[in-house]
Amino acid sequence: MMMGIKKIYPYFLTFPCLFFLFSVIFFPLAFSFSSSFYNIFLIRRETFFIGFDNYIQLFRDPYFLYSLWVTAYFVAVTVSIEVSLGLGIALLLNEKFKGRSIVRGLILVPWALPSVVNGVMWKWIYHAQYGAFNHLLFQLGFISKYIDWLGDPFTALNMLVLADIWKETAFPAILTLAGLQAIPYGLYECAMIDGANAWQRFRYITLPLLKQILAVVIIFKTIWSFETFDLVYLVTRGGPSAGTRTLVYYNYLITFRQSLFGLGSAFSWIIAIMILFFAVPYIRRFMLR
Amino acid sequence: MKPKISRRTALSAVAKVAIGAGVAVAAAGGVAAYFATRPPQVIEKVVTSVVERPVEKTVVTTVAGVPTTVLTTVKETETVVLSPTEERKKGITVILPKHEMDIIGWWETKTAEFEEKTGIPVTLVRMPWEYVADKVLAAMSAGSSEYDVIELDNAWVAKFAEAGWASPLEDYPGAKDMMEGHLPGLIQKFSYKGHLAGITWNNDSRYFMYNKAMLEAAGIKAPPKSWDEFVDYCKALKGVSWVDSTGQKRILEYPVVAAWQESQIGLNEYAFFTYTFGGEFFDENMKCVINRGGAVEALEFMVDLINKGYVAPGYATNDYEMQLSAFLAGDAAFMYQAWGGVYGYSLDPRLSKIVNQVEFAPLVPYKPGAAPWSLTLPEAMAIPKFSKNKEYAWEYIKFMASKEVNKEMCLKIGALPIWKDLYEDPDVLKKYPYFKLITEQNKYLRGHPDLVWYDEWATKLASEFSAAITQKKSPKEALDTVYSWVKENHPDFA
Repeated sequence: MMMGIKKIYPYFLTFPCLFFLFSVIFFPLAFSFSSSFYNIFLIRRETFFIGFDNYIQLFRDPYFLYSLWVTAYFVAVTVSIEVSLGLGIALLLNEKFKGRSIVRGLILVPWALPSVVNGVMWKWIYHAQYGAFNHLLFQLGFISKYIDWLGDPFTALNMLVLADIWKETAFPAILTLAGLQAIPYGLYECAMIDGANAWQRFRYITLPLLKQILAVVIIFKTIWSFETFDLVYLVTRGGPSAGTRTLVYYNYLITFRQSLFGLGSAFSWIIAIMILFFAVPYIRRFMLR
Repeated sequence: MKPKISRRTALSAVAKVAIGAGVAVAAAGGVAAYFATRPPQVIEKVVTSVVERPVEKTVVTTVAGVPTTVLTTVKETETVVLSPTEERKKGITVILPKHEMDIIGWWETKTAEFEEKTGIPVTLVRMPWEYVADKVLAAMSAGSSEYDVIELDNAWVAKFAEAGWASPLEDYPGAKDMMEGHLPGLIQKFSYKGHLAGITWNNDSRYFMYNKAMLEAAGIKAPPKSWDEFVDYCKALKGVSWVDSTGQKRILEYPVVAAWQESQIGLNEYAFFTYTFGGEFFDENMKCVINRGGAVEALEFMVDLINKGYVAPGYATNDYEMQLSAFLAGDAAFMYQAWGGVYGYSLDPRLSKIVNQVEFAPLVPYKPGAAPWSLTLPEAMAIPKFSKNKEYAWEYIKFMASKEVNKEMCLKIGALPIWKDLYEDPDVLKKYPYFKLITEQNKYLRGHPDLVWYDEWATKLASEFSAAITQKKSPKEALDTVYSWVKENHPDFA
């Protein structure tokens, strides 16, 4: 009798957690996967099994392919610049100088800014007639007339990249700084005694010891950049000419605006697979060597 | 000692993060899809609940077969079962966008007055239109009974009616009076296949406004009557020297500030130009004709305005807020589709540099042979079929859309009336004499096409419209793409 209770007891204790996980993760996951094979007509409350048609339809949709390109560009540029810049800032903040603590605090300000405030702020900063960006560049003599920064699809995309870099660079900087502080100073002293110059110390001590943390930063940043929605929604609404329509924003339009839930589910799965696809090379590059 | 993380641990952590993110994205889609496809959980029977409340004596009687609890004087606490009627008294939830002219919280005040008068508690959810749209569409898709009164946008009528999401309102007590007394265009806009799906709360009709001081400075005496005249005036106005209401001498760089954003806003503007060029998106048989006639001419005209330098930069991403700011700052001569509140803002020196310089044109410019259509984008209150408190929801609608309350709304915040009579009401005309000017335009008001798949259509058209505006495609090419998409995806409409 006691043995029986002992056997059941662990299951009894873990049941609430398992139930929760099943309800909010596994069931929706399975349902979303199955929905992605159906054409769901909300109005008529009908569903039709269509196999892989939703997936095929997406890859035949020129706007989907364009969104893919927009997202790839956005992710590649923001992640590479934010991580490099973050590393540079971290190296700087790791040095001793007057007011270092204040600067370390200030670096977090853009990151701490609510996304909505950030989006609205950049919308006005880039405004063609009243924007601070035009005014600043004009006053400094870099431009001879005001430019419509959001008027051209590719320029608008780069402006979003810039806004994202401004807000998000703090994250890699702070994480990398934490990594730098964990490196014993003695290693640098030994290297200096051996005649290593600054570049060699960075190349052979700092970088290898930061590998793990950089891998985590890059993976997080890649995933977050992939998921960028608020900036697009608030500044450009994916325009002009779909030039800033990221995959996640397009998925929102399809799923929630057009109420095409079957297609939206397929879209979600493609995004999920892509995120995994991007994670694997990073893992191999940084973890398996 | 260097803190060391084993390769296996790090790899495992990273893999978990990546898998977790993937799972989260897919799961979110799953939740949405589940709620969207689940059969609607319509609860016809009102659920009773057990509550504790103070009573001295409880008399249980039967009214129309329903056990009803009647309370007398209060002395002690007793557990009672709420009757269906009392259950409803727990309140209603209303979700509506904030009226752009309601900067004094008038709607909230009036809702409180409704609560006081009727004893029906109201939870009022007010937020920008886009957020309301997301919440309402998701709630309806999921068959949620969360809301009792919902926003019904003019573009959703067919979709909501076909899906059965909006309860027919014509048989509720007092509905007939409203159907006779409200502006016919508004009733028509929210009717679908003989049923009334919503009662207007925001008469968002658009009118042509212009800056008289600028036009006079350019030697122009009256607003343009045709699009040719409009172009001539733009030419005359570009670079004109004029004086704003603060006494400052100014040079007008661009006569037009456009909001041609890749969204519903851009489509509103394009629909206006199309209609005034005699174009249509769909003909009388609901066949798509967007790639011919006035619809193409209108888009070519818009691109031409850009190329001639009459439209201020920023047109491809401007929204209404930006357009309004520019007009009030004196950076544009025309606001060709201004909503009623713009006039009120222009009179406020804290917001405007064009105080007493704005005039209404009796009619919008149009191409000879076409009609001077202006856009009407009204918003209505509807009762979702999933609501458990329909009677109380109707009480709320009836109160907020009554003639008295509507008159007060007009007088307090300057909103356009929804009742016909109010356009001749002495109090209203005393405060807003320009209402006389818009009587003629009120005969030519149109909305967007009634399509069950409007949101799909709008997303597609917005993209192609934006491609034409940014000159990535020619207008004809962009509209041909839209037509091809309709032909492929909705062949019955091609």
